[in-house]
Amino acid sequence: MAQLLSMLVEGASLGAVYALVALGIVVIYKSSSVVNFAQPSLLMFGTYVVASATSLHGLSFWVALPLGVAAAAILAVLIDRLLVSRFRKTNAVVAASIMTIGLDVVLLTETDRRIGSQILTTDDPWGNDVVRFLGIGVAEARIAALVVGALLLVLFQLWLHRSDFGVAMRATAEDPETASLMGIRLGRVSATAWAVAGALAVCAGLFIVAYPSPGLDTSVEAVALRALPAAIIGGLDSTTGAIAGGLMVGLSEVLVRGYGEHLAFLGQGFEEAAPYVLMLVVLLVRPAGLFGIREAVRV
Amino acid sequence: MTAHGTTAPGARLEVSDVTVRFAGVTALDSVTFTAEPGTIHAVIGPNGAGKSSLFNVLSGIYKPAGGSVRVDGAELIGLAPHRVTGLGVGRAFQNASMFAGLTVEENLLLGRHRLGRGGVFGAGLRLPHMRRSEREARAKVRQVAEFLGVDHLLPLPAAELPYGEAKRVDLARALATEPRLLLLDEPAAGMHTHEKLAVRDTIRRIATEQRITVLLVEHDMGLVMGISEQVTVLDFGQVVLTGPPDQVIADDAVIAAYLGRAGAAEKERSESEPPS
Amino acid sequence: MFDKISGRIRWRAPVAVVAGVVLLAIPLYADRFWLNLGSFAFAAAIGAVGLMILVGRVGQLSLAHSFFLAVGAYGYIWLSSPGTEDSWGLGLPSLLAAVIAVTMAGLAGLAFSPLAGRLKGIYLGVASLALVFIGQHVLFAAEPLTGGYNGRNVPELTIGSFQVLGVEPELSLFGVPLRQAERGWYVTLLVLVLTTVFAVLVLRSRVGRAFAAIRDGEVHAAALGVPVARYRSVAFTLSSVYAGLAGVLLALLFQRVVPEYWDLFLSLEYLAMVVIGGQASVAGAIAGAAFVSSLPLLLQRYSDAVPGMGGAVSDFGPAYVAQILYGGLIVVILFYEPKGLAALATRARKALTPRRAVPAERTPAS
Ligand SMILES: Nc1ncnc2c1ncn2[C@@H]1O[C@H](COP(=O)(O)OP(=O)(O)OP(=O)(O)O)[C@@H](O)[C@H]1O
Ligand SMILES: [Mg+2]
Repeated sequence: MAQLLSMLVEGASLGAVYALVALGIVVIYKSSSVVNFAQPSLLMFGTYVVASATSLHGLSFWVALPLGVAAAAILAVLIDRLLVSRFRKTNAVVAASIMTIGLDVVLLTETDRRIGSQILTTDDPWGNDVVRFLGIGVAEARIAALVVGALLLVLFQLWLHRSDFGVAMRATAEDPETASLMGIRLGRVSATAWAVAGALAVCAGLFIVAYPSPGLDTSVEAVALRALPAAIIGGLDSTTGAIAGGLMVGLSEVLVRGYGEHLAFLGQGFEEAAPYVLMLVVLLVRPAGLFGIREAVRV
Repeated sequence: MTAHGTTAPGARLEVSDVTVRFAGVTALDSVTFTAEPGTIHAVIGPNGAGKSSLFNVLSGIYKPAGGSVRVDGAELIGLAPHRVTGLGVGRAFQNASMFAGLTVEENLLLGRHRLGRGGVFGAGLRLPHMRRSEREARAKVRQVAEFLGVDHLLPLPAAELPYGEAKRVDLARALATEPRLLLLDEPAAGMHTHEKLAVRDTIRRIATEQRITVLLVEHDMGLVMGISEQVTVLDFGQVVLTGPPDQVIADDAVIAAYLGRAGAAEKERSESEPPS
Repeated sequence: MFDKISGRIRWRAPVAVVAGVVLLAIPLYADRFWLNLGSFAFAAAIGAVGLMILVGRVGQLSLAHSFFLAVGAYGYIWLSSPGTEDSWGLGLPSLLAAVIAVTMAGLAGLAFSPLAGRLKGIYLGVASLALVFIGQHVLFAAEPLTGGYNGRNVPELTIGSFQVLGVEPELSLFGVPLRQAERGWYVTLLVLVLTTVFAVLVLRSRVGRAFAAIRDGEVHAAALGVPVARYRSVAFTLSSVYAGLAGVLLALLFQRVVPEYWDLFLSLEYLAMVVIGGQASVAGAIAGAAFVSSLPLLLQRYSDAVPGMGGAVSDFGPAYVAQILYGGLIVVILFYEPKGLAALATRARKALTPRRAVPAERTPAS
């Protein structure tokens, strides 16, 4: 029982982290119809900026954090303005999405080279403590991830539902042409979305590399990639879905790892494939994801 | 014998109680009417009345919330679009969009897709049945193209067709499916007067020579009233009335539907249509 | 009409003959390195043509190509190896094993059709990621099948006592002995030619037209009577058959395979081949495959000559450079010239034959 409880807490914490990354993917998709495969590389890039600032250049975490967030946000906006926007003009969203795959390869290859065989830590404030409650022990960093992640998700949802940006984004997702006729500046909407996605990815990255994980190394990108199945599970066009998908992916991963000995027939390390299996199952039942809406095409 | 080669009689279309809803809009509200075999039956109404939505139901693209559509007694609601085509329902589209990566001939050949034979192995190994089917298809497509006077366009890349010619090729493509019921969504939109006359004659010949039932959506009232046996008027997704052209022209409700909205609609149309 | 066709034939036939003679003559002159380079390129090109059909002609993205390559490779190993206590094998005759392995890849593709038929474009791309990760998991977990991290030997392909890619019995051509490298070249070239002809015929037929129609307008295609879901899964299955065949050949050429080779990055390499080739062109895919598969080998061989790249000490090794180049080329080509190498060929042809308009091959860029 205690074991299950601690797995649920850890799963939710990891899920909140996935949700942050998945949310970025969804926001970009809603504002520009592009599936951003480069999300993991934005995460790696921003997290690397923070980790190298703290562990290689001796900056404090609180100085490095805004640097990393800003760096990823700026990189994301540049990608949008310089590359993706050109595809949008010809409505070539499939080509633009494939382009982000190439971009992901380039960026990851470069961050991988810089990280090399090092394991960089971020000197984050949660340290290596373990919190005990209800008979379980959970790393403080995991609680922080859960709390901060949930907070960010709530703030973000509020912002999307209250702010002009949120309205503009939903209008754009609904019908870009009409939105543009109503005076919504599509370029600004998508640049904002990309910036937000970059920033969210870094926040998530910092929790992924926090205790009990040893730090930032090249294996983190495989973790970050699991935000893609999370976004698909929830439905690419649903922010609620991104959160649900993130939680499901986080929980499935932690539960499969936790009950590993009962799942021995699936082979060791199945937790890394579990989110993808879950995605296939969901897609079989609901091709547009749990919260996604399948639009009728007009002809 | 016609250019088209088949003389199977046109289908009887029975639409009853068809309702289609989108978030916030009822595009079709209990639409009911019948089109008799071999006749030209027009569906008219202001912009946004639901005409294209109706066609999308009739070709299996939209699943209605309720109602039934029978083609010679066979229910088509719930069938996938390609099965609906299999029942003999052909469709020309309002936007006449061509398969841009293909030639005009290949576009027309797609109309005959359902009538062809052979799959990957037949094609890759050049099996005889496939080559025969391909030869027949090309011959038929040429006949249809000649019937509509677009045979000179066959080798051209479809993406380069001007709008008016794309409209005619689209009609040819629909006809190539060998339909018993042909759905034409604004076949003369954006055309000059003399082009419209040619389209009118073509539609008439399709109905009389080939005995195909034609369901026609068109904004040009002269054209509609000149060739239709029956007219169904839609407004806000509801049938205002169905009757012969002279009755429709004289009806107060129809006039109200048009006067109420036609002015704005006409303006919108002239802005959204490409110059031809 | 007539003029155009005969003109094309007049133009193509001599080029094909010259290219054919050159390709057949190369093993008489080139050394092992270049022959191996060619064999790998031909094998990869088969896989690339398969992916091109799916991505460029149907407009469906797949990132699962490495999975189907692996099904072919490990299917062959499993079927043809004699089984032992700690490694699985059926000990079938190797040619039969190769045929069944390719069929298995096709069946695996077919089994995915509930998703391959229903999901569209990029959605399928993300869904297909699952196969790569599930595949990787299985390859590392199923040690009796794959030998785990250490990998497993690939049995030779023999027909009776004839080693198709080996040295027995001795053969020679114009006094040049045909050993592994030479035979590898000829065999992979032959298979590539056959599968390419097959692909071209399919793409020109009603099947290929249905593919293009789905890419250019799926709703219109459906309303004209094309069963969209069926053709999507047909294309997916066809592309997995090509991948399986490429996988068998690659395994035979490698002679020993390790699980980690068949990962997501391999799928991205195949995607790069297709994009570099211009997405919708058969010849482009082959050229793209030749480029992408030879690049690391060439970099390896000549890296000492490039300042800053040589040796094991540098960060900027051949692998780094190759990856940056694939990724970068995907970006640059999609940005500037989505028709890739195929566009270069079109331009060259136009320059040489000024009057004739060549219908351009379209890309699925929408
Ligand atoms: N796929 C869809 N999603 C949401 N709303 C739709 C969709 N298709 C049609 N509608 C709505 O249904 C109503 C009817 O549209 P429809 O296209 O059928 O009209 P129409 O009579 O063909 O008009 P027009 O003369 O302009 O072609 C409109 O309000 C339209 O906005
Ligand atoms: Mg309409």
